[in-house]
Amino acid sequence: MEKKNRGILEALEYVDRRILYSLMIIVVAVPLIHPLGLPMPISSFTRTAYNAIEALKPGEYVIWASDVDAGAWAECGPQSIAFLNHLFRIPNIKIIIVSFIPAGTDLVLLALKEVDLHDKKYGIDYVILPYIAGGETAKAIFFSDVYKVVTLDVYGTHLEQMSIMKDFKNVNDISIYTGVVSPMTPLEEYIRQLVLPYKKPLIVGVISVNVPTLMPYIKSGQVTAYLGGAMGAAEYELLIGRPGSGLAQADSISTSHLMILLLVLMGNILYIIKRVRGGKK
Amino acid sequence: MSLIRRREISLALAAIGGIIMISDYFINVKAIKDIAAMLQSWGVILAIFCIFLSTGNLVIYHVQRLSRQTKEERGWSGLVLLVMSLFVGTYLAGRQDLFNILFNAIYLPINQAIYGIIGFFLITASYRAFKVRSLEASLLLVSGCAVILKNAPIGSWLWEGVIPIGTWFNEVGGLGGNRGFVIAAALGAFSIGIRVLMGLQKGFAGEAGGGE
Amino acid sequence: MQIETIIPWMGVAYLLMVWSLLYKENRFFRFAENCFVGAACGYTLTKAIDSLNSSGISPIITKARYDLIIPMILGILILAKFKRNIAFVSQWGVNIMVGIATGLAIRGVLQAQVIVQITATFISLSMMPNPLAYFNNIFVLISVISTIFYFIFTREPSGHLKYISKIGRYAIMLALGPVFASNVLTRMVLLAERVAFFLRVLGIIK
Repeated sequence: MEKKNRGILEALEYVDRRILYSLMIIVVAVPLIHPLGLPMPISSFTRTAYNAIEALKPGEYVIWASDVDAGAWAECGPQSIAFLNHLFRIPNIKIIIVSFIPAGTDLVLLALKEVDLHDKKYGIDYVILPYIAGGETAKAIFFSDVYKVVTLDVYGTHLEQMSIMKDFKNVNDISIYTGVVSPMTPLEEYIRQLVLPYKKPLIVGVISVNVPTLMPYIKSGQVTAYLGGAMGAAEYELLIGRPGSGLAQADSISTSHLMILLLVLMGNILYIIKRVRGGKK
Repeated sequence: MSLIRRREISLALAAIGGIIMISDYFINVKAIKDIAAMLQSWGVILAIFCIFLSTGNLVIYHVQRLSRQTKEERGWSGLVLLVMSLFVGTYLAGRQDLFNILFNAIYLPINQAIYGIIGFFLITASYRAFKVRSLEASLLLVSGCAVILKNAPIGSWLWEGVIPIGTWFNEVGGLGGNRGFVIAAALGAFSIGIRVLMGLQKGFAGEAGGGE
Repeated sequence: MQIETIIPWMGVAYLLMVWSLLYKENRFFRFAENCFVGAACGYTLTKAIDSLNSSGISPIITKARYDLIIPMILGILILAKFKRNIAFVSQWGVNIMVGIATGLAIRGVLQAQVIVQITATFISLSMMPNPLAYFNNIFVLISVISTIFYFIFTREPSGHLKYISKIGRYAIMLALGPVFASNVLTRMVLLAERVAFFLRVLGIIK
């Protein structure tokens, strides 16, 4: 009997990884096909982000930064769509869309296809600037004087020809700086070049991996609020009343997390049994 | 050795650029601010040419492979250059519609698939690597599992206490360590930066010809 | 057949090619991998040309920013790296850029990432409305100090100071737990999104 038990334990310990992969795909796919409809609690940081944007007044300028690459689009995409849906819903604000990552502008154009523009006109109510290379150097010069670093929009039109750019020269003219930030752009660059010299409120959507490392800046007040990954996007979709891909994935996230926890638990139980057996010998 | 080939020229250029940036921050003189703004716009253009350098390196590498390697590797290098040419060609021809098709059909889906595959490796890591071998490992697992449950909506559905406990680990339990990382990393970055500006960090200066 | 209907199927094909690596290394994966290398290189190059047009060429022509001719020349010299006997000229442009970036980074790093963080740690000690807040703030203070102790800046802690370093290790482990959990969330979302895309293209979900 003990030999049989040891056989089962060894089989469990050295289970083929492809079986685990197949199990995970099933665990993720089933809730997508048959949603569980679990309730979604909303975090205080998501509410703070929502309230800050909701409080924008007519005529105010907002910068929206699309610092995201395709690899992070699964988390930042729903955040972008939710954020932009909210921004475009606020009447008479001016939205400057910028990117310091090569793929940022194309991804924001992709996101705008799913955003309700609420009759906002390009060049009057919003403008999309092209990718600005240079990382922290680009941010520093962009924040101090936009025209020193960019002269055309993403379609090649001169910025002076656009009415939206008449009252916008640098970051002092904005009320809030928002956007989505992937690990390709260190958030510290924004802290050093935007928050420290200009003291502007910073509301960012980040991928979940960055949330713990963002916490010191949240607690010190340097970052006003954040959306944490796809769950943050799902919470924001609930707040603005536009369910999207963030909410659609929430149930899959629940079941996959449970599976990870079960695997960790099982791995540790097997490890403890092995240690006890090894001690008895 | 010619004067212009000396490494010290390169290091001095770095030092001058850095000192002007720092002076701009602390000294409120219009001339310094104007020079600093001008240098920052130069930095943007220089960064673009560094992108050209890196892509050029890749192209040269694959072109060299075309002539030297096995038939299979020649095929792969040819594929890389072909796809790259498609993107650059459609862009230079002004065909934004085709460029968007290439972006949506090739760049975006492969990028997302590559990042998606990492989740599978996390599964085997969770099963095989995360064991309570010591007190440190136990602390990591306990705090990790608490936050995993808090992150998933099912955690709060199973038990309401998951949210305050997970939030505590996220916002208090881990805050000290993460803040320590931020401070330590900042001090390290500052010291490396000072070494770069003083010319003590020569690695980035490369083979400028002037050597010791 | 419309191109809009083909594009998602190409995405599915690439997804299956990349994920075939989970079974074993094969030519389909290498095909997708090399497609991506070419795509990333070509795409980044086109975006860089866009950026050069907007930040370099257009200001020179339309705004008489003739000072930008100097970084253009330095930038072309950077490309001399490909020729070994004149490669030294490429260092000038690179080093100016490194100096500018270094100066920008270090001028704010102490204030933004050290002083403000230390201030936030100690200021919280004055805001203790209840016993839990009291415990939390003291806990964070001890964690921060012990974590910094763990990193050696001068000499290795000895004697009783070693215990502070040990507490620092525990604080770091407590900090890495949420990092692991957040990593799990990110990876599962990336995975779920691709599975959702696959099911959507097949018409199983909307």
